[in-house]
Amino acid sequence: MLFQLAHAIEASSFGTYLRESQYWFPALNLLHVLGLLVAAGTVVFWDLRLLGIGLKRTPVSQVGQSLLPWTWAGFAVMFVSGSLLFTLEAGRLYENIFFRMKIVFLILAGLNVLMFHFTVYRSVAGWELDRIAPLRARLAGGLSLLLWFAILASGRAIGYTLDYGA
Amino acid sequence: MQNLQDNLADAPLIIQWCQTSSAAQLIRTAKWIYPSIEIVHLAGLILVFGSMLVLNLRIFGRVLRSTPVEEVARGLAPITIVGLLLQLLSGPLLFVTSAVRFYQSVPFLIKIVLLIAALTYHFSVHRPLAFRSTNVTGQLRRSATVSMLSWTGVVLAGLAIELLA
Repeated sequence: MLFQLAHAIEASSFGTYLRESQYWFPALNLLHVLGLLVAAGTVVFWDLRLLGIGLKRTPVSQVGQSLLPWTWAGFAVMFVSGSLLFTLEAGRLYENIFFRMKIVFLILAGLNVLMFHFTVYRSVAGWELDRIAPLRARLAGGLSLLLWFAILASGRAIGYTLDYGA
Repeated sequence: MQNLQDNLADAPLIIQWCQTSSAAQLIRTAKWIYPSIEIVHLAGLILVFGSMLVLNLRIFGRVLRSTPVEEVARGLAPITIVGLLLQLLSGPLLFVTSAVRFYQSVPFLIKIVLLIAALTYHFSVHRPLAFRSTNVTGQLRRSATVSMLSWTGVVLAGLAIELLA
């Protein structure tokens, strides 16, 4: 079912229009990478802070509240440009192993954020100035860094395994 | 391929040597090595660009307002260095694999010039200034603007190497 849907999206007039224009693909790719730089470039400092690296003297909740709007803004740009890139190549992306891996990593990263917010982050006021954050907070930070790296790596691998020239 | 051979003969000796070096040949033999090095290069970019973004946003009063600039600068500096090391190690490896193509790429040349300018400015002006600033001054703001523009230029020129190829 998803497979048919992916092919229908690729064959749609909108998907075809994006694919056949010579400017959309590089422009969307550029936006996707710029969104990534802002999203990942801010979220890493929050993850590293949970691990006790970097902005050590700022309370955890302040680093989060301050940086997360930028992370979301970057993520929104990534999401919109990524969805449009998907309509260009939906059929082939659906079958691409690295695309599937990337979607799994994205879902895992989202679950990690939810888990963190509804568990250990609830008591952040009690530990945010500690020299070493609770284990579950450090795990969430480390996992987030790993998942972002996995999203980056699988995303880049898509570019090498889809034959765009054909 | 013929075309590449012709270009190779026209390129300066050092460029020819890069492209035909054993390191370049090794990286070209396995399909996954080049993309892996590229991913390391991008991860380093996220650290370098991200730390510049956060520091300069702090200077413009957009983030971490209750932490003094100097503390933000000192907290981020080691992460910038780690990112730069990742990039300066992976970048030359990417370069040698297709030294001739990069040598002839205008965006690549622009990127290198901007990179040298951005690095020089960062270590001689922006970083020392941020390290001794508790308050935001006009001078610091100007320095943050130059910093942000120079790194954005490096990124855009770097992306243009692939996107315009």
